[in-house]
Amino acid sequence: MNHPTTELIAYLTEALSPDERAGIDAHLAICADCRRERDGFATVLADLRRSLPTAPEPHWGRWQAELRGRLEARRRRWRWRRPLPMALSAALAAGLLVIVWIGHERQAPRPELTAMEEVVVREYPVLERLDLLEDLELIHDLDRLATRGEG
Amino acid sequence: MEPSDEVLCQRVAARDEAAFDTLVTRYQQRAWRLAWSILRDAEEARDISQEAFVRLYQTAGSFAGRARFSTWFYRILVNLCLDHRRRRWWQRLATNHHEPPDAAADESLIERLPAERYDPTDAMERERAVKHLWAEVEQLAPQQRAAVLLQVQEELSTREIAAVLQCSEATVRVHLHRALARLRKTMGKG
Repeated sequence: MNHPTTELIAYLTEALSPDERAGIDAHLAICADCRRERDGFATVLADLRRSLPTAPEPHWGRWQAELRGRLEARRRRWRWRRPLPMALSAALAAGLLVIVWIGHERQAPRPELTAMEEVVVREYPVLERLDLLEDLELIHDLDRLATRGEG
Repeated sequence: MEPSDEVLCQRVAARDEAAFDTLVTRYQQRAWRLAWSILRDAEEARDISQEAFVRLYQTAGSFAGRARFSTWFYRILVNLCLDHRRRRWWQRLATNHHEPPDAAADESLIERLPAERYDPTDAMERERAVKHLWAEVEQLAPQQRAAVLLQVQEELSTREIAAVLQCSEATVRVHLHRALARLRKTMGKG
């Protein structure tokens, strides 16, 4: 037999649907254990309700004044907080722009370089190798070959 | 005709100060009483009940109107109370003055206590039993304790308690069943 133990309190506080209630009623009619459970819970609930501890009353005027003060302080903070993300976003965007501009500046060709200097800078790896190749005899005699051809 | 709590809350969302004051007047006692019942400390109850109204002011725009205003407001309040209790427990733990946060989990402790039997005709005995009963409520797990208080003190239905505690109705029934079974055992009525 399934005992509806967890439903008994809902049953006592009338929190069940009519169908659920009818089901519990039918079960209680045949189950002495559940009837005992129900009566035990009913007594505890009644005891709790009868003996609710009385909360010490605060001074309501003071309580309300404190609440207003707290709310006002919080409002001031909210007012400061709202423009802060906007200021932060603007600062971040400005920072990003500066970084992009600096990067672009570094990559851009320097206007003061002459055309010859630009060729040297561009072809520097090749020129560097030519220095090495000068040691070879063929390269050394290239000038002479050119004069012979002309003649 | 007086405007309903739900209408007032919508006005608070539009920053109507008078509507806020009316809601404060309507709910301040209930908020204070429930906070005190959960926290059992007047200073903390003062702090938390005020904070609940500040949150109400701040988040009134998020009240969708699907639940009753009271349920929505109790949810704010109970969450604040439970968070506060949790923080307090951690603080006590840090200073070595701790008690278990979920005393109900330690069923063996209560099982070892001799069950008290009391005669309702005896006033002194009864007073002691009632004190014992509420001392035992204090020892319940936070969710069980909140469920019991919302049930017996605020007279909320299990559905409303579920909405406040943000859990299913079945979970609330289990909370209440476990809590009352424990209290019954303590009172020697089982």
